[in-house]
Amino acid sequence: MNNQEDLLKIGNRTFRSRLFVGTGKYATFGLMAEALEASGCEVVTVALRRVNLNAPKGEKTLLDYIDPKRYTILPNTAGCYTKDDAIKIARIARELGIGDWVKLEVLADEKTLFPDPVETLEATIALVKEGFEVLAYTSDDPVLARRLEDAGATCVMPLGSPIGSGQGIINRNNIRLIVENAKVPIIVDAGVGTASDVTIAMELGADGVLLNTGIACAKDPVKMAHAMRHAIEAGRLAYRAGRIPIKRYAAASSPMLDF
Amino acid sequence: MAQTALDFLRASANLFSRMPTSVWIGFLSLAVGFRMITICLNGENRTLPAACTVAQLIADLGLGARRVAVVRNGEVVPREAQNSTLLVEGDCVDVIHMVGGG
Repeated sequence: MNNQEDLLKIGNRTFRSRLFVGTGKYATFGLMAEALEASGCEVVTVALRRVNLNAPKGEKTLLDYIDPKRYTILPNTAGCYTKDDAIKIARIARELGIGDWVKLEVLADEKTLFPDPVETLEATIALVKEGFEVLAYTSDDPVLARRLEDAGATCVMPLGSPIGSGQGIINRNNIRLIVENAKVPIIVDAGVGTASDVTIAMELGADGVLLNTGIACAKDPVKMAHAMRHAIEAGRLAYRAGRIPIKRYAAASSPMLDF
Repeated sequence: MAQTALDFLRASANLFSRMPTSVWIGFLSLAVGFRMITICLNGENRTLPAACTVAQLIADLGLGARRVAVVRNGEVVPREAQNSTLLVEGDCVDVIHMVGGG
């Protein structure tokens, strides 16, 4: 098996790494840069906010720590609660020259940060019409995932569990159903707490995993990023290798005694 | 008569020397025919010379034009239009950039 050729294709973009990493919540930009490096990721997500005009002149910003030649920047619409706000953020992102793709995130409430399914679907339809490649953050509902794909989403991103919760993949069956039904890439986004969660998502057949808090808020973010890099490769290889069926009784590994 | 004129000049000089720089600039602008406008910039009021373009504003703020996007009254100002877009009194302007996020 030639692992070099196992590439992830999202729209017209091709990636070797199947791990997407967020740039929020790190103690320092320096630590973030180190963690990104250790994760082996090629895609990093960013949010869009007002410039702090009261910051000291020459203060470093996020872009000083992300080499655009090395990482592909995926802007998100985090913090939006309506489709109109999300569409506005997507247009702003396009104006920043980071391409026409966007991680669409339209949230329903602050407590769960669950995506609002109706607003997300309507925003997807509108943004696809405007020529955007939409990577739609969604719940783990297979029906909604299908509807987003039908609406023209380039990639569907079901949550493993609530954003930042670290609960891992709560509904493995749904993730598997979403993957089986999809013709677009499925990237599990949100809820990943540790390396095994990433591996499970990949073993279920996900095309990739997007995470942020699991690395940024680990005691040692660089070490955790390194673990996540191995986890995504392990899970992907296991998925492609084809696991054995689960049996109820033992099956001996050594030949039966014949003397 | 001469004494009165001298007193007037002294008083004027005294008054002008006590004025803050911003008031001086205001007077000067009026004198040479400039007007000032007030816009809402990232949620705070800011006074600018009239006839300021979006591109000038970004430059005056010391921001790299390639790293920020500008939203004026709810609409994104395309990069190619920033040079020709004049700001007017009461405009609501947001200057946006990338920050850490998941």
